[in-house]
Parts: sequence; structure tokens; C-alpha cells
Amino acid sequence: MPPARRSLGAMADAYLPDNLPVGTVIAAVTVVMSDGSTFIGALSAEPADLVTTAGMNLVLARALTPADGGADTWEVTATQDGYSATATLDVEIIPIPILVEFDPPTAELPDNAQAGTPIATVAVTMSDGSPFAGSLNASPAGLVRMDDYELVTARALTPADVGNQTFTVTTAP
Amino acid sequence: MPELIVSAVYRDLRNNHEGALGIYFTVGARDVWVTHLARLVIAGNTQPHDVVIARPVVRREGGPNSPAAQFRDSRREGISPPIEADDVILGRVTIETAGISAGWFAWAELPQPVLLQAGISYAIGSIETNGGDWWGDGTFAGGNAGLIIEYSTDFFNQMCAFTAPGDPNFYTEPTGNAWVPPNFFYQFEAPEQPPHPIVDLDPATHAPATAAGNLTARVFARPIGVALDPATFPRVEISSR
Repeated sequence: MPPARRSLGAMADAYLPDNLPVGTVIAAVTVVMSDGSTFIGALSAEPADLVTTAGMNLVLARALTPADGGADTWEVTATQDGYSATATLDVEIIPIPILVEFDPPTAELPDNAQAGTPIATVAVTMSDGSPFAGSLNASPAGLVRMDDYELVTARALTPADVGNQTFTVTTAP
Repeated sequence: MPELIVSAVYRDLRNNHEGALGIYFTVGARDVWVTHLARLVIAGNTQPHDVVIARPVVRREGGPNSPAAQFRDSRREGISPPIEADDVILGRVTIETAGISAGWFAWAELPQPVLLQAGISYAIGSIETNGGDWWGDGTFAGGNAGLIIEYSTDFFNQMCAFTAPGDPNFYTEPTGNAWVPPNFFYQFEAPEQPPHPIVDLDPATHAPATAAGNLTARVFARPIGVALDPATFPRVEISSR
């Protein structure tokens, strides 16, 4: 599913996390000649500070950063014998979740805690500082669950649960 | 091959403008292909001039509500179809005037033929330099009255006028007048083109990024009952004598 944040009025061709490293393949480039002959010309890409071509791929010329966030249109131009053709790619560089934190950072629960007992409030930090708009999953699934941004017990605890437990909260794609 | 302009008569020669000067015209009932662009050579011309053919946005001299603009709009209304705000240069060549006899057009072939669609208005302009080569201010006659349904001249103040929608520097002179003028060869049949590339992009997919955090919780046992086991004490008997 594409992310909720996107360019005004249009779907992008590609949604790119803002931490993609240099050299990441953004798109495969296909060039055909009008007469069916083999393309032996040159490829170029714009914006040159962000993308370049490697073989028949459009790749990142540098790593993306949160400062690159937003919608953009990238171009690849194929030129041969003075004739050129350009294809465009509408991209949206999207923020990523980078940190999941709990309040309180540790918890203590009695071994008779009822199902639905609050354990901690979860906060997610995005790479660009924007509010997190996704969903959260908690594990072990039978023991804990998410109630909005609250980590709660999924069932009543028993003496068999006594001891240190590790609960994991993961942002959903 | 037919030309847009076949003759020109000038009232004056000038060289007092920096930017593009040319002709605004509307294509008739048939699409045409433009293969070459030209500029008329005036005696003494030596400089190269870029000639461009473009589909301009409508610009109005003196603002959209000026009397001049209203007059020009009313004159244009019903003649030219609305022009979208997608002002684009369709073709561009560099014309060498040095060595060309005065009174002749100097020509250059476009890198690719340009299609002009029926009923759509276009502009062709020659880039001039203030104080540079002389250019003509006069009248001209077209080569095919059925092709072009309106002749007029346009003034593009600067090259940016082609690429900056909303630029106010655009106006027309009475039909049949021209500056410079530029010219073009056209044909009705699509010209054969040498092999040219067609490019396509297939975007790669990138896994959505996720983040995770761990919380350590201690589940503690709690006292669930309290039992008292009373102590026993030796019985002490006290007797009295």
C-alpha cells in the first residue's frame, strides 16, 4: 500500500524511502529504436545531482536524505545520432520511521494483571519529524497487543509468566 | 517545399531590441510539418541568430485589462483557439547570416521536424541583439493562404517570454506586418525520419522501511495468602501452698 503522504493530485511512479543509499537502482531503462535497430547511443539523467545512469539503470548518484523529501520528476534521455527521447519518472521521497520509544521505558506487571492492562505508551519518530501515520504491531502476539498507541496485555497474566519479558513493537509497512 | 513567407517590404530597418522578434500565426485546416527555419538577411548582417518556433501562452501588453489588451483580445477572439499555458519551444536552430546575400533567407534544418497542429496558434521568432544586426520592420506575404488563417507579428521581449507563463510582453500588429522576419519550410506529409530512440522506465520497488523497539517488563509474583501458625508455649502451672 502506498504511504499516506504523496504529491498533490497525482500518484507517483515510485515511492522512495529517504534513506536509500547511493547506487540504489530506481528504474530499469529500456530504449528501443524506431526502426528496431539496437540502441548504441548515450543515456543521461536529470537532476544530475541526484540520479545518474549505470548501464541500463537509473540509479541514485548519492544517498537520499530527509532533506530530499517530497515529490519530484526525474528524467532519462536517450540520444543517438542527434535524435533524443526522454522518459520521466514521478517520484516521491518519503520519510521513514527511525525510532520506537516507550513511556515508561521499562515496566513491571503483577502476575495477575488482567487482559487489557496498559504497559506503556508508544511513540514513533519519523526521519523528517513528521507525525507517524502508520500502524503498529506488538509481539509476542498472544501476550501483548496494541490499543492505538498503547501497549497492553492481550490476556490475563498468570504465575507462569513471572520473570523478565521482552515485548517488541514494530511499525507496519 | 512551400515557405511561410514569400515576399517582404520594409518601412524601416531597426536594431533596437534585445530578444525574440517574429510572427504569430494560426495553422489552417491541416496539420503541417516544419523542417527548416530561416531568417531574412539584411545588408550588413554578420551575426548568428537563433530562430525558435514555439507554442506560446497568450501574453498581454500593459496588463490583462488595458485598452490595448482588450482590443487585441477582441481581435483575436474567434480567430485563434485558446492557447494552453504550456508555452514550449518546439524547435530551435542557429542561423548563420555571414556570407548570405542581402534579401535572401538564410536557412537551417531543424534537428527533428516539428508538427504544427491544425487550428493551433504558434510563434516563430529570431533572437536579436540590441545594437546588433539590422532587421526589418515591414509587411510580408504568405506562400499559402489556405495554410495560415491569420498573419500577425509578435514581440517577445526576451527569450524568457517563451518559458515564463504570464510574461506581459506580447502583442500583435495589424495583419500582414512582420519584424525581421523569420521563416520556415513546411509540408503536409509527415517527413521520414531516421531511426530515433524511444525510451521507457520501469521503476524498481523498494521495501517499505520499518522501525522496531523493545520493552523489557518484569512480571513479578505477588503474595497471595498469609497463614499464621501459632506458637505453642509450655504450660506453666502455678500452685500455692
